[in-house]
Amino acid sequence: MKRRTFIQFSVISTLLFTTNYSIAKTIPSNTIVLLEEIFQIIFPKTKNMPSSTEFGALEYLILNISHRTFDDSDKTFILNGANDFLNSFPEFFNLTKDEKQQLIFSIVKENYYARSWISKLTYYGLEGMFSDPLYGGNKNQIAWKSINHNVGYPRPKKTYGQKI
Amino acid sequence: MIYDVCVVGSGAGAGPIIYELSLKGLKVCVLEKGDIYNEKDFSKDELAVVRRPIYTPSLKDEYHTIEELRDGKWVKFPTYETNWSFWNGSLLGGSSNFMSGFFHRLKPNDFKLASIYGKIDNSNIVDWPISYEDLEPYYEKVERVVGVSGEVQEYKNSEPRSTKDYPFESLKENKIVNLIDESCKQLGITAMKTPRAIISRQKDERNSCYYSNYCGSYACSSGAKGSSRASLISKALKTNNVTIIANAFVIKLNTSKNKKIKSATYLTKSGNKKELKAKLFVIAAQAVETSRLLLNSKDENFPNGVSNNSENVGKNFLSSSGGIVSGSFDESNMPLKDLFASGLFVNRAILDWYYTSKFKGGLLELVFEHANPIRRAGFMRWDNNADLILGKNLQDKIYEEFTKTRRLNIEIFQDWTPTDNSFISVDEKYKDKYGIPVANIRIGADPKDLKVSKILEEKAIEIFKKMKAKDIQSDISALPSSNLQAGGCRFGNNPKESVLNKYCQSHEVNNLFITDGSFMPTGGSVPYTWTIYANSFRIADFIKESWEKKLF
Repeated sequence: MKRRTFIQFSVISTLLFTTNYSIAKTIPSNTIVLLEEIFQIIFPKTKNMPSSTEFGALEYLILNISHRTFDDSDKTFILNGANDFLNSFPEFFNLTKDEKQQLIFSIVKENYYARSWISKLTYYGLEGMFSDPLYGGNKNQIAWKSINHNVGYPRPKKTYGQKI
Repeated sequence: MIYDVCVVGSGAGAGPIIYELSLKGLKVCVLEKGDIYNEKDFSKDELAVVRRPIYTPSLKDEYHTIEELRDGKWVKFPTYETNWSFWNGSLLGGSSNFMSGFFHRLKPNDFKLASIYGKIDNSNIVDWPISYEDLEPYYEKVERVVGVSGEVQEYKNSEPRSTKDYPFESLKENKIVNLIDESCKQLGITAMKTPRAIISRQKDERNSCYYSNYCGSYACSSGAKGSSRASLISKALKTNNVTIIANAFVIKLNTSKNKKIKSATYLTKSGNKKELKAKLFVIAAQAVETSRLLLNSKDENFPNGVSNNSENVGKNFLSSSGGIVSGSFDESNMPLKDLFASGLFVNRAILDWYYTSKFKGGLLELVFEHANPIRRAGFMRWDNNADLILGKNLQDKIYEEFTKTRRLNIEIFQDWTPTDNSFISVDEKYKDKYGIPVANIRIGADPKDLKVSKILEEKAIEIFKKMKAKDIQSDISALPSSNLQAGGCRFGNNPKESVLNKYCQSHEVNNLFITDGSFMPTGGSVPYTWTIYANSFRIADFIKESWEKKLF
């Protein structure tokens, strides 16, 4: 098995075989793989900050994208945008890591639609980075710890303001 | 059953009525649009509290329209297109659950702006039908009953007080106040300690402030914040004279032949219509929704909406927002451990320009940017050219800004000029998911208001420069802040020019009172909440006296 194929398989299997992520089963697998790769470009691991994979940007998005309070138009935009991206760049998965990054960095400067789509993913990626770990991102408070954030207390026991 | 009193809403305008009348022994029924929560349900969950419509309706289902002047024409757009929500808290206690709680009284001259400064051209400025002296005892009552912490200081623009001190000592402060005080002193400016509706020691069943670090915009988990729910309704419930019907959206007030309100029609969560009868009706649904309810309550007695035969309902909508100036502080200003100290308050306000000799000015309130990180990080994805920042540059920016800097805001509060271009209306073309016409908010501000904000902006920048703040940014506009709502049902002595009499009783409907911020003909250069609380206590006293005299 080629390394790239293995990585793709890992991402999909992690999501598909976790019962809580039933929504993942309704999203095309190549969309899920694409979103993970885009998140990795937006949020790479740095000396001080965790990567999107480490804090769980994709898991956060998949877990929350179908909640009734998630903006419907944003959900449609994210999923349709992924489809449009793959139609526009069918060879994306075959590019090297640097080539993928160069492509994303260039299209956000040249194309309004691409810029809006990447911006939207960044918006929700940041939610995954800094929201309470209860929502599936910010695993083990990794992002809060990275910026020495003074957390507000009490932290939620249930998601989305459900009563105790 | 026919209740003595039906109260629509449960926020700052409703709480004193519910509290006082239930203690008096009247049977009070509260129709609250949202759900009932208490301290144990609240948390510092940024996603749920400030980024999703959990405590407010979804704009897809229930929206407003905003009417803006574009190229010389007034154009309406629904808020679901922009996510500019004018809902502030649909739950027991309303938006008082989420306030930052910086409390300022109006000043004596705020009650007589027309007399002091004269009537500005094209404005509808009038004096209030009551004076500061009429309201002062009730400001004091709010200090005791709702709970206000602070420290009285000698100052030229301070209002007279009937008591020497605040009943609760000031909250603990971040050491940045030393920098503020010193810088202001060098500039010849007075930085005053801001009173807060947050208690600094236990009061009955309410615990003191525990410096949670997420305060403004968040409901309080200790009961320290003086929400209507924690400070008033929880006590009122113990009288067994209060019934709260939650998830009850009041859509119409129904009148009888004698032009009194006989019942309120409301929708349950599942959309079923119900009716509630009472002898007296008190509306406090927040200014926009209160005007909407009256305008939507049309019948043979009131074809333009209840209490609107004079066609004054909805007119002269007010806000008190003037914009924000912000600056960044780092280790060069003060030790980071002090700058980042968790949860401590800034509690400084500047009132030196509250009045000028020529025009009404405003107030500067100094407050740290809210501590919740998602919102702040969201701004970091853009550079100064509005280009998207990605990858290592984004990650480095997030790390550097969060770990090495903290932003302080100077919020500008100014006295909106009431004009014909700022009002609430309804339009049959725009309806919510229940088929009820939504409120339209025309937001034309008087040009003078922007000029005042610009003057205050210069002062704020001057202070930041003296403090050696970096990256000073301004966002000054004449747009209303959705959480600062007043007007629409102004009180006055002339029934042809006002909706309510000086006791906030409808000129046209004997058993109808309005006790949220709708009554204000002008709003002062401050957040409205303290005045709304105080006025509601005043009206409660009037209702109690009138009830004894069987005037309803």
